[in-house]
Amino acid sequence: MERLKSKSFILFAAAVLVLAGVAAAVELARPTKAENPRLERLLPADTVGFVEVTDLRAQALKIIESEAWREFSKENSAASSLFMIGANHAGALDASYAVALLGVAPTEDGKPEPQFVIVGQFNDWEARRTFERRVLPFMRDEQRKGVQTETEDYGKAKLNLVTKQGKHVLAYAYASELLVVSNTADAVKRVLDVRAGTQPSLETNETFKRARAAAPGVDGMFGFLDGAALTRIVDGAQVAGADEKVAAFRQLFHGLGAASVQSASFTSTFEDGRVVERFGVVAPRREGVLATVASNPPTEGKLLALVPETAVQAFDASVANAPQTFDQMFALASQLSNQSGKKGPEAGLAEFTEKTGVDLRAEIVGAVGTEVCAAQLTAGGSEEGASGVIIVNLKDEAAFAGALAKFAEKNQRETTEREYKGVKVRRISGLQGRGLEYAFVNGNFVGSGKPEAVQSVIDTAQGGRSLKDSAAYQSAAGQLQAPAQFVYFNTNADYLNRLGRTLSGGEQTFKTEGQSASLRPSFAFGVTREDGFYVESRTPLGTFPRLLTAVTSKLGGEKREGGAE
Amino acid sequence: MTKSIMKAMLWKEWRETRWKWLAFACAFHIPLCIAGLMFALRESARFDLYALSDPVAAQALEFALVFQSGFLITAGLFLLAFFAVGSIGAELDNRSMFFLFERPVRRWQVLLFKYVVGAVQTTTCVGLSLLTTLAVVWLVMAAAATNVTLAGSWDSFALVVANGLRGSVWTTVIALMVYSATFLFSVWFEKWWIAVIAGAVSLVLMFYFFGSNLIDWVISRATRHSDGDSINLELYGRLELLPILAMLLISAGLYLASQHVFARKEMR
Repeated sequence: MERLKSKSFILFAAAVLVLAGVAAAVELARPTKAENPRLERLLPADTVGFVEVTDLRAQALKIIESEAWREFSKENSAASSLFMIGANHAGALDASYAVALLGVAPTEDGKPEPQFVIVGQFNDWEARRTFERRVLPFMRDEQRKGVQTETEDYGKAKLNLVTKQGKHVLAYAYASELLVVSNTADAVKRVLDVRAGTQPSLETNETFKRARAAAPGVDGMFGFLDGAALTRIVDGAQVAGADEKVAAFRQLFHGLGAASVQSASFTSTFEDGRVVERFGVVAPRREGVLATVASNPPTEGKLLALVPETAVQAFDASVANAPQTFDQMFALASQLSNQSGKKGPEAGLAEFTEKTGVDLRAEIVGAVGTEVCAAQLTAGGSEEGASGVIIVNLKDEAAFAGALAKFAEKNQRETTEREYKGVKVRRISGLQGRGLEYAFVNGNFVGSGKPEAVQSVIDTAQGGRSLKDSAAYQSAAGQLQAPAQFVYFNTNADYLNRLGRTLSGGEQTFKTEGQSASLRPSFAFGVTREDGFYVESRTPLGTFPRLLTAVTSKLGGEKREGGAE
Repeated sequence: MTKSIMKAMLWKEWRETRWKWLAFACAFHIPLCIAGLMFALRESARFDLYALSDPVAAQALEFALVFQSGFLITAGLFLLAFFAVGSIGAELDNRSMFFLFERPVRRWQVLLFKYVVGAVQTTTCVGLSLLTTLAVVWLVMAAAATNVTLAGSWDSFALVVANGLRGSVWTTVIALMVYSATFLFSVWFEKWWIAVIAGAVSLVLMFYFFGSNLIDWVISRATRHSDGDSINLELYGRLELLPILAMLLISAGLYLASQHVFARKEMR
């Protein structure tokens, strides 16, 4: 007892406590293996494409901190917490994952088989083991009839080949905190070779290096596609007994201009409590349809000036090159059908004309001007119900109007006309009380299923506040650095309800109606650049909720006897 | 015994036991320390804490209440015995008791004083530890979890604390009984380690014969009749007069036995 009170004992105890504190701090400060995995180091240099999610737990934490989740938690506080805790205990958050297409190799039957691989870098072996038990169904069902696992040593790793009733099902290997799963054993071996340093990794691929360097944020999700590798696969594909089909696909691939794509990359990362997704295509020497689409001039956004300020969401795109694109696609389809001896697109067009009385190419596509806009004016949960409107800029209003009249006549649909604020509003009746309400406003076609929608566009055209003038749109569009090919705007008025619907289906019940929050609007745009295309979007949570939902629904519980989860 | 002598004795007790008391107050929060370590070292535990929201905070507080109660009526009682065992025996062992006998105070007064000060210290440690644990858990949740606020979780906290007060009564009474028993051993045996062994053996016997009753009175009913996820607070620590009075009577009896032994103890 007295010894406990002595100075030396107290000093010793204090020193032990300080040491323990320092050790804990070091442990906390040290990044885990999943936090900085750079999974490209484990993939072969000739990987065709891959998508990786870096440290799923860190992403889940960012979701919790996000603006949208905070608002969602106010309405679904218990369910949102339990959902996240459930995801945590599903055993899949302690890792970074990559899903990759390594290439295509012929099977024993001579058929080409894509080599997919899932690479999981876990924080520790315990997390890896949990994932194995929950994700690999054949491991937990090992005792079932017909399922066999053969294990062989491959380097320092254990390679497992799973067969069911004699047929190869999958292969997987684990080494320390790494788990590699694939549909073919060869793909697993290729990853293990890269890990062992006997084969070069994707990190050494020059195309990949450029794509990675150009990606501003890679701490969330990152995707990469090697265009040259994909073209090599398409050009080199051989399928016994299906040469014509392969040749046709090859022709389509080149005709669309896909072969001119050097690389594509995708990133998804959290910035300022929201998700920024960026998609880039590097194709400096564009060919085929891709070249025509790329030469499309940017949208002027004139039609957005006709969308009422209160609109829920709007999409506006330039379609100036629509006729050329249509012609090119048409020619490509004709060429392919001629070669295969099947019915071509000409027959389809003739059938359309016969049924509707309208010449699609001349009267519809040919009459379209430079811009098209689709807008949702009221939300689904609102008193008046969901309503939308489509606005198409026309270069030949008379031809377009004539096509609609022909359609009504041919199909014996009743046509009525009325006037609203000096503008003629026509209606072509449809089946079950539905119909098309339309008007021509400033040389643009305005169509909707609901008369109020067309009227509100007319109101806007005659001096009402438009979406384009609204502070919310102006603020969101501030991020546009260059004239865009398309823009998308969403007020997110209904976002929480949609999020509730996305997350529903599991153990937790979320509100799917009646939630409203003042979230910042979503905004996306796409631009053509000298070296290719670039698309950027800022949304409340991006694709992460779907990712988490997938994780929790697939891994949320281990199967018990009787199949109950 | 004059007021100044009482004051001097109180001062002596306080000076002698304040650090020990503080150490034991900390020891009664061992579950909190374990939880703290778990949150510091396990990412998944930190994630759970971070994901909490106001309604779920109530469940975390209920869990903390039951866990701390369980600790207090099991491992905590051994800690308490270790604290009480040094009350008399250690002073006889190091002969500081004889200094007191030279003052104008009677033997029974010395023992009464030591008993009361020790009992107040231990029961305060035990009773308050439930409330301090709940308060710390509540504050940590509000500080760490994005969707837990002090205002939003106040009702849950107040409800759990209000129910936790019944647990405090139970644990205080049980603690007093165990303290009294160990106090008796401390008077009985001059060597403190013999008293520790005697205290431990008697505690084990108590658990053997009455352990299930203790756990049932304080915890089991609340957890047994829960809806599976949360704890039924209404059934937590329901006050029952008979066992509480019985434990208080046993405590008084043990104290009187201590006085009896102390009065007849031959001390040299």
